Amino acid sequence: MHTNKLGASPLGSGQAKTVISVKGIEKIYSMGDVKVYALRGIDMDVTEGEFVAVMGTSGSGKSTLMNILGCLDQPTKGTYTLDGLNISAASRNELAEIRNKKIGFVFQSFNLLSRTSALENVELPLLYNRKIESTERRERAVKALTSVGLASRMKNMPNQLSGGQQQRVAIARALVNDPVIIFADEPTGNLDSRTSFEVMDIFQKLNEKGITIVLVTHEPDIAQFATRKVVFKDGRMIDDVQVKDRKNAAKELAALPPIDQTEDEKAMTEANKTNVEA
Amino acid sequence: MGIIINILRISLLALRKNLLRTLLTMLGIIIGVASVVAMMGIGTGSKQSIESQVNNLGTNMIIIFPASTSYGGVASGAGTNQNLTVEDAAAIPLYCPSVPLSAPIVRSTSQVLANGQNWRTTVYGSTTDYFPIKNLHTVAGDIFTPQENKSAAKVCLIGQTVVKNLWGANYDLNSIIGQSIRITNIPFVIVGVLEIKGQNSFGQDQDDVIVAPFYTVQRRILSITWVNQILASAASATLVTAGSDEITDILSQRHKVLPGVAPDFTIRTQADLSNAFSSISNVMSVLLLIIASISLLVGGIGIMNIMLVSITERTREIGLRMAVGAKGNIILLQFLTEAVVISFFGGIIGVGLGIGVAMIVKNAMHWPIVISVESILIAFLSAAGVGIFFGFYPARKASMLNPIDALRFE
Repeated sequence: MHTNKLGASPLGSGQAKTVISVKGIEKIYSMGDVKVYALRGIDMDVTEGEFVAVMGTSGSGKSTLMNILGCLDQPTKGTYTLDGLNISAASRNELAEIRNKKIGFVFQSFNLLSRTSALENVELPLLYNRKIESTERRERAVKALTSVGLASRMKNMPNQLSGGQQQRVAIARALVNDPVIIFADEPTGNLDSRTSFEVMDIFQKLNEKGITIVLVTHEPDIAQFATRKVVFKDGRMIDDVQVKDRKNAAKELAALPPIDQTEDEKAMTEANKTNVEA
Repeated sequence: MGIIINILRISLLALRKNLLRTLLTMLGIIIGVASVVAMMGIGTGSKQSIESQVNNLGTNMIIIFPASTSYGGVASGAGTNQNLTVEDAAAIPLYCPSVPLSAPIVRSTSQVLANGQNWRTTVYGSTTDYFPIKNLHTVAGDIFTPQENKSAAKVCLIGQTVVKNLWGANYDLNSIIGQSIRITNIPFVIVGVLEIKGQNSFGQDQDDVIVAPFYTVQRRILSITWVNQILASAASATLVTAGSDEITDILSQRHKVLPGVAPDFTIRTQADLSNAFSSISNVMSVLLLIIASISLLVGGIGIMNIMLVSITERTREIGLRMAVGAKGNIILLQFLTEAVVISFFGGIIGVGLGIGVAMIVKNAMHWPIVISVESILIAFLSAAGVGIFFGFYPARKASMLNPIDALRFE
């Protein structure tokens, strides 16, 4: 059944369950005779309601870890448990099913289907879930789009939307299957500061409602919006800290020099207000 | 069930998104199917027209000639012997269960005279069974009666070439009935005018004839005791071979042909002729079908080509679909469905176009064209088959993609 995480108990309920549990994960790529160690034994837990920023330079192994956590890849060694399911032993098809039901993805380059409306883009994950009827699919997609402030842009094609709007459509798509965790891979990488703050604002608001988020970024500013920061280097986790002086994206946005608000931004501000009230 | 509808939905959306590409891909199949339908229509049509022409020579006809005579080592050719009799002709339907009709024929080339004009034509003498065997009908008057045959009545039916030469081209055929015509100076009463049969396959004018009762021609004109040939008709086309065997048996018996000795008569059937013609038209049909199949094949390769390009172009899309939970076989089904939808609609349009082209050819060139349900089904099913066959490899390639690599594909 569709039980939305929106409204679930936020941080500090005292008995938050473990969403991700990783033990001794190694990933070795064989290139001919040469073995490349992408991950050299990672142990990590993510509990429900956390907002984790994963940092590291390229080649640090953070992308490899994200692929494994996102059930797109399998570790060479070690165990990975997602929402109580042992992923390490899952087949290709089982992984697809887990991605479909439990995970939401947000990519740097949005990855929206071209010439396909925002609504149809958001509906996409539900098309691969045989249990969801077309009416429910439509309802959930509308709800997800409304929650990111795009209720008025549902019929628009991606090329009729700004970068920030496109990324919000992508976030709505990640939300629509009611996932246990959202993985965002450099979601602000292609966006300017203002739009980045808007997107981070959405992530923070979703997190406040109890949605667990793992975000990969190489920008320290962006990491400051998370609750926890882990840093990778050469396939090892070298740092794992709670974020001090956590920034609020809405405040940062307000602090930016004002520009003329577009219709859409008004709509988003409205949506944010209602979300806060709810 | 729900997932099937979703796959169909996804495929249709993807096809609609690239409408021009979809239509261009479809064009290959449309042309392929259209040419299969049109070619099969032309092939079947010409085959049927040849068959009906052959049948028009006489239904299931068997012809019995006397064998050649040889005098002092000099062979005189077929049909010169004088050993076939009316009794032989009469015996055939009695003793050959496969051959219900037979008619003796005597033939005379005579000068005929009527309406102040004269003409040289062939006068056939035969019985009333001659008409159904040769598939002859009258357009005016009627055929003579068995009684007129027995009494050697001086009546005759005339072909329209004779009419044209004696009375002119636009003469009213009905007014000829009852008129007199002199055949080698013997006056005959015309009782009927034969329907136009045209040339036969060898260019012989089948309307340049006069048909009179057998005994009239045999006794009054020719004064002979034998018959020139016997025409017989098997009950059906499949019984022609059995019938000619039965005739060989009964005539050998009647002519006291010893075993191992060549009989003194020759049997020829229409089967040889129609076999020859239908094998020619079969070769033609197969040839046309091969040409059409090649265009269908090219259409199929077109589908594969476009699908492969499309999959490369849509690698990121495939990666995304996999990331949000599409399993490999669902991706395979999606692309296969796209190929099948293309060939399905291409097939429908192609059948329409093929029928259209066939109709244009029919009206413009007056070719006999027969569009059969089978040819439409064959064209349609082969289009679907081509779609599945050539769609499978690209679809499988898509389904094997690794989602990580596909998502990063530039």
